[in-house]
Amino acid sequence: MSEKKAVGTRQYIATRVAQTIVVWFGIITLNFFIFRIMPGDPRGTLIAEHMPPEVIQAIAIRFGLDQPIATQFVLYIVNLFRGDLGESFSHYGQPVIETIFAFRFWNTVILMGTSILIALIVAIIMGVIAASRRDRAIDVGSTTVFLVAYSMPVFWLGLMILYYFGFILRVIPLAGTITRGIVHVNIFHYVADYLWHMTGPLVVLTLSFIGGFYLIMRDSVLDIFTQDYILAARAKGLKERAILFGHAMRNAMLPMVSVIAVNMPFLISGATITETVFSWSGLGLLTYNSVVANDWPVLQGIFLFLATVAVLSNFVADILYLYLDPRIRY
Amino acid sequence: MANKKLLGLTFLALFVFLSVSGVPAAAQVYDALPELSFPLWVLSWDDISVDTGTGLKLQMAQIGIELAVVIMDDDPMYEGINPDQAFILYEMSHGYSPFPDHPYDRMHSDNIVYYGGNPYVLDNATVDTLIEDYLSATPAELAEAARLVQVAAKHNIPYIPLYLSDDTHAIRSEWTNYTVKPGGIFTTFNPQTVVFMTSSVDNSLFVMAYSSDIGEMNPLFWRSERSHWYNMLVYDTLLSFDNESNLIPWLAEDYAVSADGTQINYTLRTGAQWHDGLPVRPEDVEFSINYYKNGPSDVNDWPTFQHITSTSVDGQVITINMDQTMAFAPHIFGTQMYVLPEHVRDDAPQNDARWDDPDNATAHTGSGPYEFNSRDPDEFTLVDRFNNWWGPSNPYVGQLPNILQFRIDVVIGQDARILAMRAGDADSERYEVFGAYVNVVLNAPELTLVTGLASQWDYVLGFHLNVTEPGFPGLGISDFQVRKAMSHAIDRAQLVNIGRLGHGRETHSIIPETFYASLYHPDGDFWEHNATIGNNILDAAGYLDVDGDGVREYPGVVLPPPPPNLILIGIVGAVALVIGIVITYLIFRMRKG
Repeated sequence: MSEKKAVGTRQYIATRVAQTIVVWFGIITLNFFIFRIMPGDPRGTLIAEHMPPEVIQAIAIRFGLDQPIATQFVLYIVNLFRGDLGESFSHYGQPVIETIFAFRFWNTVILMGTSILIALIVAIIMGVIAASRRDRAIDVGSTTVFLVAYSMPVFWLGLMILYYFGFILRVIPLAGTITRGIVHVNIFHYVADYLWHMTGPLVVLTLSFIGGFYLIMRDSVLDIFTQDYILAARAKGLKERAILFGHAMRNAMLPMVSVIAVNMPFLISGATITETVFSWSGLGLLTYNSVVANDWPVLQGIFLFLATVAVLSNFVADILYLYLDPRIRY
Repeated sequence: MANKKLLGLTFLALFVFLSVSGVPAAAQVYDALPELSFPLWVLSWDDISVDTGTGLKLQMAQIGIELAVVIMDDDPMYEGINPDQAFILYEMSHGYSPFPDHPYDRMHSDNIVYYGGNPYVLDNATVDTLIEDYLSATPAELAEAARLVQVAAKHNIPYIPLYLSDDTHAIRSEWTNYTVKPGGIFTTFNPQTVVFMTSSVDNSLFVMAYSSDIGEMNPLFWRSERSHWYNMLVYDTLLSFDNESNLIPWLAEDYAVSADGTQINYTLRTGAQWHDGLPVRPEDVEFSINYYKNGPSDVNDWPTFQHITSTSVDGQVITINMDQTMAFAPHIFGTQMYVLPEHVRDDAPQNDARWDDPDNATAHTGSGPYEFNSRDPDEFTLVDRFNNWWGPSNPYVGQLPNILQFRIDVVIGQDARILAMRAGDADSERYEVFGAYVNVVLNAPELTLVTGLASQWDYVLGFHLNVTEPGFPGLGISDFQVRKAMSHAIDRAQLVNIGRLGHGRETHSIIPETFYASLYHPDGDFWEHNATIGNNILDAAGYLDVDGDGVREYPGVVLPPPPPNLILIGIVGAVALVIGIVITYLIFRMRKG
């Protein structure tokens, strides 16, 4: 790389760093105010009936709710830079970091990551096969099945699975991430139990994801089939499988990269409805409960985390482009 | 030329406008009359509240008061009632505690504060004094003080008690012998239920499904009934309640209150043990009292503890001296304070994090009927029967719990909870079932619907006493005569049928007989159901239906002159229109000529 190009790249990176910092500061400011314009007041959750006025006042003081909004904002910023996200209102006094990351974050990442991964693998394979057999039974059949799955309301699908597979057939558990009350003999026992509990929500989420992935992959492969290099591959006498998976699928994956990127936030934000139906304690459920309870510190923590991941991801992606695509130079 | 053309068009437009706009303006005259028409807020997710609101609308129509039922979601409703006080009328349930100190919460001016319990804004010095006398009554004075407070409520009507919904609980059919007492089978003031309950199949485990986790494990800071209920299993209170809500000995075998009410003695049961095997000492009780008192001010019932001037121990007797008489202090110290082990808690502050640590079993040492076993947050909390519990030595208990293990599971959706009960994964759920789920439970062969006892949820019709119609100060909802007439219009039996399908108990006084039999007094019964009397009251007060639309207008409102004859207006308008057209035509004709 010439010195001129290196200087341009360094300037670009410096500009992106500055932009990222500005954006992040914008986010943390917005993050404070968006929850305070929601209807409702956390005192509605914190204060029980029959509480004397003195206790009501003490609770407000404990959580800083008696302070003017500007003072609360300053405290929020100061505490944020001390690594303190505050205390949960609805988990009375529990540190927000613990509320989010102790186990709920991992429950969501494992469930959502697995379902997105399975949905991607199945969608890619079935998309390629369906495209290669356009208008045949496997194409029409798989398109119909995945479209139906894609169209079904998640809560309905979840309840049906819960009823038929959980209650009637008793092959999946009705609630939770583990069997309640048992002592797991070792880590393998725990993992097996966890995966068994994950079956129901995993099926629901995979079915809900797969339709979109499948349609994009199928259309992308159909488009690739019109390209000259596919014709050339066939002219060279390559086997159909090699053409499909060696040429068509690899090139059709490019649009899928964007789809995967778009779905990445789900990895963290979770799936509220599915988590509720199966009592899966993840971040989606935590977000919902926090909205209902006006648990501002927890909501701020979740959204700050999400926004930070998004901002950093974009920054890293932009920097990576510099090295991955030699055509991009500044 | 342009000016004349413009003049002509303006002339034409004016005639058309006047002839057309006169009609709706005349028709609107009567809608503007100030009348007894109010929005009634009800709570969206609570079918009982919504349906009862509809019943009230029908009943108020009989006395010429129009209610528009407005279905509100939680946040706008709660915030609109208090702190914003944007409501005029609301109807929903509040909750009773096992002793009737709620008149202070709901009716004393001290509680006209942000998120206070008096959203009605009842600010009456006489009522305040009566409530203060009630709360500071000696045992001998209490019944009369309670009567006076009930009568005061009847003669001020900040809210009208309607009914207590029944506790309709789903439970697996093999379970029997739960204790029925006001509030329901699974309330914090019914620890006997978990002792006496037994299964015809297997007593080894009872699983209670909760819609969310129990939250706080530290008994000093419980904020939800879920957490309070867990505390009740693991920790003991000195006293409890019988089926008539009277105090009964629990960890204490006796108690006594001095004649002036400022000294309370609790006699600790002998032989009680902590879960770690050490004996429960009177010093532990004294320590607990001071642990509550010296805690931060958001400790539950902290203000009451601040009236303690000294404590002492003599043998098994713990004495509490107070700076003033507090009628319900024996209840609060006896039933709301959990007795804690000094040897575990002595070196740590009241809000120490270890008291919520699920991995620190020692931190959850109590003397209750169950001892902490294990917990996985958002999943379950498991407790084991404490085989050295003092229950057999208490004649009000006489036994250890029949159930060996008790587990609280988190099962979020109502559908999932019912399926879990039917599948045998759970035995009951914490909250009542209502709405369509009642029939689901009735049709499930594995389940029983427990009915026939009052829950703690009392449905009331609340008034914002400071709301007035512009130009009519002191009238409308803020007029006692209107509220009294409304009280006469209420048919509680009908409301119970409409709102709760018959599963409810009428409440006629703010201290209802069903819940607080010993302090209820019929003098405090609200005005009896008689719509004729209600109509007469409003007639006498000058609220008359002057326009004949079925809704009474405010006193002094007179019928405005009759509206213009619409046909005549139409004819005049048409003639004006024709004249306008002719004149316009002539103007243009002259201009052209």
